[in-house]
Amino acid sequence: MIGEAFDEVLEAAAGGDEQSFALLWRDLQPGLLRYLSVVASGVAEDLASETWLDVVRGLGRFEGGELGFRAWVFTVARHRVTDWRRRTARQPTIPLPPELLPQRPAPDDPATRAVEAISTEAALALIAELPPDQAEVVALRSVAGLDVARVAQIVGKQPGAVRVLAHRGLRRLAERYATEQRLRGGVTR
Amino acid sequence: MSPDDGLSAEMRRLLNRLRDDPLVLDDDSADRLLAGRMDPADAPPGYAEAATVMAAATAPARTSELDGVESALDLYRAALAERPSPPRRPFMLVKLLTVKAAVAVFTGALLVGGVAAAATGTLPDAAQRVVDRVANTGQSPAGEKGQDVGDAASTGAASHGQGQGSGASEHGQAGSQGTPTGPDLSKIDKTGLCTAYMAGQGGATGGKYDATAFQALERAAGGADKVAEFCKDVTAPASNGASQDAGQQAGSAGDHGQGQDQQPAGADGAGGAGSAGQGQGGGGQR
Repeated sequence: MIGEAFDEVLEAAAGGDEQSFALLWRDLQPGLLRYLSVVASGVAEDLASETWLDVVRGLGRFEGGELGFRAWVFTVARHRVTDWRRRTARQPTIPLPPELLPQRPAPDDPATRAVEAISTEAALALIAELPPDQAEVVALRSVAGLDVARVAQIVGKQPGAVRVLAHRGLRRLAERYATEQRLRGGVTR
Repeated sequence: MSPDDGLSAEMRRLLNRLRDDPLVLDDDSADRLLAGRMDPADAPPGYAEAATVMAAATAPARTSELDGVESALDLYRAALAERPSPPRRPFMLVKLLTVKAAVAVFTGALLVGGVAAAATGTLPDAAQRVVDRVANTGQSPAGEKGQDVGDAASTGAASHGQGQGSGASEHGQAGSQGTPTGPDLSKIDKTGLCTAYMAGQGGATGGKYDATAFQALERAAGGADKVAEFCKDVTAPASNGASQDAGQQAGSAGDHGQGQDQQPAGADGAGGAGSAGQGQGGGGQR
């Protein structure tokens, strides 16, 4: 978050000030990349660039505060994801060889162990494995740092539905560990 | 869970089910988990690992995530550079030249009108309408796309006049050659041109009444064959106005400008304006 200076920074960025834009970018890019890696794994960088292009084009027209801006950027990102899905859906599906598929953490993978710290990538990969609507809501609520009302607006659902999806997502994460702990404790794979 | 959440019946059922559930999660805990601020030690039963995952997902930015700032700035510069949308520039040029053409037409109308008044009372009105039209073109660039057939037609007509008008003022009779639908090229060749005449002639491609202006001009000059001489005073700045290149290159009016500048947007403003006028005219005639 940029805080009090946000309005000034935004205005300067819209007016062509590179440092101000870099400030906005630094503030939002990590969350944007993380959100995109959850909902569009493998193309997060590209979609982030497309998102920023749209954002820069619309900078002069945006009106609102920092949280509104944040929500707008993620709204743009979500549109880019939707477009990307449409593009890829039209392409014929070629089965990928297993070694090219995204690595699913194995039960003995450090990422799935109840360790003190896991990497951000591993955590995002775990969130990405949730059912898509849960994964998206969890990502928007966490890495994007948006409140229930804004997430509801972005995904086009009622706030209550957003809460339910977030609850279910968290619960599923918890269950996953419970299952794996049972697996580790019992059956060897 | 606050009561004003508008919980759906489904959610109530779910929450009731969760009450007997070891993994039941209250809203506040969920918020803290999502924000990555739940200490695994304080997490509700079964959620310690989820707390760890969420903390990792929301960890502070790493340098690898900020590597792209230079390319982001490149993108920023590029996006800003395209922001004054490209079609605007030609429009500014057209606008400026429209004013110029309008002034030229008006001057021509005054000069012509003074002489013509004796012969006919129709010219000042007709010329004024040409001026009005040309001025309107400058004010409504929206006509360029021809969303409205009527609008587009009149814009096209006026643009012709404008392109040719400016072409004429700079290059003698260059403008007339490029008009594919010109009413009477041979007559124009023969009579030469002046600013008012050219603007009127351009208008004639889109509307009949301008023919009245021509006739008036011809009458004022004492005949169609005397308009050239008559117009010499009006088109004083025109250099060697002789038509060397009779309509073979039926391209833009500007292209006929003594071959000094073949490029539509070159240094020669009249050439550019001629092209613009021609393009718009084409659109209007669709």
